[in-house]
Amino acid sequence: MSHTPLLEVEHVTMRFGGLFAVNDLSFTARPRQITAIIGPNGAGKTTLFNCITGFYKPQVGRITLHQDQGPVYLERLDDFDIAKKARVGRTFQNIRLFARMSVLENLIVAQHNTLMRASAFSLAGLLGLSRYSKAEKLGVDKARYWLDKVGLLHLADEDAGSLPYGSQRRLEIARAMCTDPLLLCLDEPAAGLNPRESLELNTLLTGIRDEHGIGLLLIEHDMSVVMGISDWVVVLDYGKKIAEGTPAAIRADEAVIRAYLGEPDEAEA
Amino acid sequence: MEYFLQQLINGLTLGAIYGLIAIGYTMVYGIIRMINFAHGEIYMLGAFISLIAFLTATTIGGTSVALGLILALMSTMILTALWGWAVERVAYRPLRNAPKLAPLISAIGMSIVLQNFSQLTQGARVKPLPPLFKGGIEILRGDSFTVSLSYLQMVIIALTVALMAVFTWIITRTSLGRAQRATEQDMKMAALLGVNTDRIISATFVMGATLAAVAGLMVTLYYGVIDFYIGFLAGIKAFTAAVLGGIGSLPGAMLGGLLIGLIEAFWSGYFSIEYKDVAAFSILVLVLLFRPTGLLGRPEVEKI
Amino acid sequence: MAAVNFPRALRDGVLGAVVAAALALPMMGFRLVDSSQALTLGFRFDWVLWAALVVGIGRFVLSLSRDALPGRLPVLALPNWGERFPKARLYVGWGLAGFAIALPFLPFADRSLVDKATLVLIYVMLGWGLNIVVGLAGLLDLGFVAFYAVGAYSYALLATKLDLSFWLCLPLAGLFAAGFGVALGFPVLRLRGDYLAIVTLGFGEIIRVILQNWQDFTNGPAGISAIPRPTLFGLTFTANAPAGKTTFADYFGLDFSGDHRVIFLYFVILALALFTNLFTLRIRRLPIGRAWEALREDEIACRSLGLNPTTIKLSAFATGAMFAGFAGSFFATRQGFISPESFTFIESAVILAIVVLGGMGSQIGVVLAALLLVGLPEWFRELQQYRMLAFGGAMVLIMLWKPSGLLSHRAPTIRLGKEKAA
Repeated sequence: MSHTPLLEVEHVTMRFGGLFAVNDLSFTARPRQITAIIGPNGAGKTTLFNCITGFYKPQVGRITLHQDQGPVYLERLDDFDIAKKARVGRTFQNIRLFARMSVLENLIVAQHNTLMRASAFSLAGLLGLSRYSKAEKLGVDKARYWLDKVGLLHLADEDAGSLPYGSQRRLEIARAMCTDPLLLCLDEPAAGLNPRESLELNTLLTGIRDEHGIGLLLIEHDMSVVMGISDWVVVLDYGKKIAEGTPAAIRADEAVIRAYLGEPDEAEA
Repeated sequence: MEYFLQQLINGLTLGAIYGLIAIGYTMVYGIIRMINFAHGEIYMLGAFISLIAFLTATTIGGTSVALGLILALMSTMILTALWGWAVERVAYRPLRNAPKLAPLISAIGMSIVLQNFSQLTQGARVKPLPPLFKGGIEILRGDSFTVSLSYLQMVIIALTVALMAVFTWIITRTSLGRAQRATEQDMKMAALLGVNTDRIISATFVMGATLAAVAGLMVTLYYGVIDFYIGFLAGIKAFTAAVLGGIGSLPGAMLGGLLIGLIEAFWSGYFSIEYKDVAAFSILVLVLLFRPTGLLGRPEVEKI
Repeated sequence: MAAVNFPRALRDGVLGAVVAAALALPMMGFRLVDSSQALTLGFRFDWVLWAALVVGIGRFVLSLSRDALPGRLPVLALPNWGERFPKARLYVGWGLAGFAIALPFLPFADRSLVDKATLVLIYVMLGWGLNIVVGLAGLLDLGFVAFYAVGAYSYALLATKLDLSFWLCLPLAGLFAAGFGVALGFPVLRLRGDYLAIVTLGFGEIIRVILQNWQDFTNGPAGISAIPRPTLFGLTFTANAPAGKTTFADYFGLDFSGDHRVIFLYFVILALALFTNLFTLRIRRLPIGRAWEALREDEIACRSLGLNPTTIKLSAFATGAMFAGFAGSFFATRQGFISPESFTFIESAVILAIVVLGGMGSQIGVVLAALLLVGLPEWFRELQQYRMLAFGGAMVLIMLWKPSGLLSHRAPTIRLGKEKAA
């Protein structure tokens, strides 16, 4: 197992006025591992995600993504650059698909940068040069691969917005994977899924980890997913890290239990 | 120095008028996120109606100028408010749930209809009115220039202050205002809690139209001429003022209006008259570049 | 037939009549008469009565029909044919194009018809150009007329001052307009939708005011006249050829007719418009076109996929501006004379209305809307004074009838089709 971290979050603080959404948070996510971020509601998990993926800019701290070529510092990069240069992909808590475009088109748009390069910013396509049609075909192949992986191949030409909820979630994951990320951040991917769908999600995510060798960062409330597939768990409460460790260790951690279940009653003690 | 003060006074007066119109834009936008393109034309109608009412009162009714003006004020407020209500009812309410651009196009269409309605019914030529408010007081007598504050300017500013006070009281202290603020924040929730949102929205349009009507009367007296086209230009500037002040904010609209008025007065006073309309826009662009939500606006946070 | 509620319909009618009377009273009942002495009042109370009657009866009938026929009339519903017959769009498209090409040679076509068709085509092209910005990329541009003006003035100035030919100036005009698009777009494209609308409106007005006041450069309100007409490979469409050139009529051994130029201009704009259309159809299947549409759907999702919204928006803005520039130069060459009067906000509003009325993104819809909004009023030129009123009214009525536009169906740009089975 590699010891170089994939993602290093160091002393990150995100403040909204007087509210410290994320407070001096540090942790590491390793490559080829699924790291879960858990904590009660309002603990700062999505804020942390937004800091990592560039939608918020933390006031303090450093976020490093280690690539083969060297480290990329995320805390000051634009959000689209983080996706493009640092190769960090993400999904959203409130699914954000291109609803009026087809499933296939969603995945083709995800490969925008590759296709733009291949088509000389679309000019090759305008001029009808074959280098674009070749590139587009490769793009469709990749889309087809991921659609197959998430079981949506038969819905490729449907409008993304017309898909059932669970399928939309899977589509979002497939779309993020089409950008060939090194780190995939998933914000509550199991929300709204029934137990069978959660199990399928587990298989999908572990498959991504094992076959594509990338790191996954996961915000989740569904403990069957967290305990089932995470290699490492980080627990937040009120913006601070209160525990970190393997799923088994976390389950037994007193601070975690207190955060989730509260203090025992005086009468019971 | 004297010239500066005069431009200041002129600018504030003009700005008060813009501010009154701007409030209509900002309230409507705040509650249904729609730019009421026809609002400028409501202001124009207010000007025409006040003029007609005044003439009716003085020439036919034989009342004094002062009484005529008061009657004109009352009539224009009521009748223009009715126009504002009718426009919302006919052109906007059916499109409440339509795609976002549909009400905008309907509003632009309505604006064209009202402009041409005015042109067809009253003619395209400008309507001049002899100055009714003569005289004023001298503020400062300088070597080359005397700063004066006319009675009309005083009335305009006083009336504006009074209206602002009344409407602020309505918004913050009455149940109507409360319901309006609730609808502004979350229409569905307000409806679930028993607020008749249709009626609240109509009331918002009516309030905006009333203020625009007063602005129409003021402009008729101040400039002495009106025509069917005054709505367009004033409308754009007033909307600019609303955006400048922070759309959705009542004091912001008045602040924006005053600023636009001052910019216009100083620009035409010190630079060139031709480009004065452009000055306001340019300021708007600059403000939006550095403060996209306007001066007093609340930034809208989008949940990611 | 469901139960008809006469008393309520009657009440609706009476209320409607009363409100109409109150609304009509000041503006229609009275008339401001300005004579040399003073402003006086005239009366037209019969107009008020008529207004009250019309509205009252109208409301009465509407109320009755709502009771009698619950649900919309199927005819008025105008089913979304685009969805039901996807192949039909292709045939309709080719059909329209073929009809347009054949138009000048049809038996009923005369000079005035071709002239009107030329005007409609200008707006169709402008609509297709704005469609890229508003329909595809979802950017609300209320100042499109600015780029139209840049194109027109570019050609006019280049042609009159530097004697360059139309065909050389055409791409230059597009380039200048696109440049303007980038310059205007760069500072403002990060603004949210409605703010962007008002700022672009402002820019449109600023351009017009500058054109009106920068006398040295643009000749101000007097405009630029004697703008040369385009030639067909050097053949002019005049009665007599200037030195060193041949006229079209002489070359082909025809008698000179003013119609030739009209038909030639018609084909020029037709070619330009078709080019715009083909370009749009093609670019939708290319990465940048898809990016435009994706941006319209969800900008934040685009960012998360590594798409830079600023460059994407700028490219949409600049491309739309380019086509407006082409259309502008054509406008200048067809009229022979341009002035700032032609580039008011109303033009931007008309073009936007064409795009929205047509159904955003629908190419054929734009054609339909242009025919309705531009073509019909032209036919009613006799009723000149009611033209604009009817135009505004049409905008409102069509929006009330079909808020999503006449034809609104998005055709996907790529299909997996039968391969799905794999």
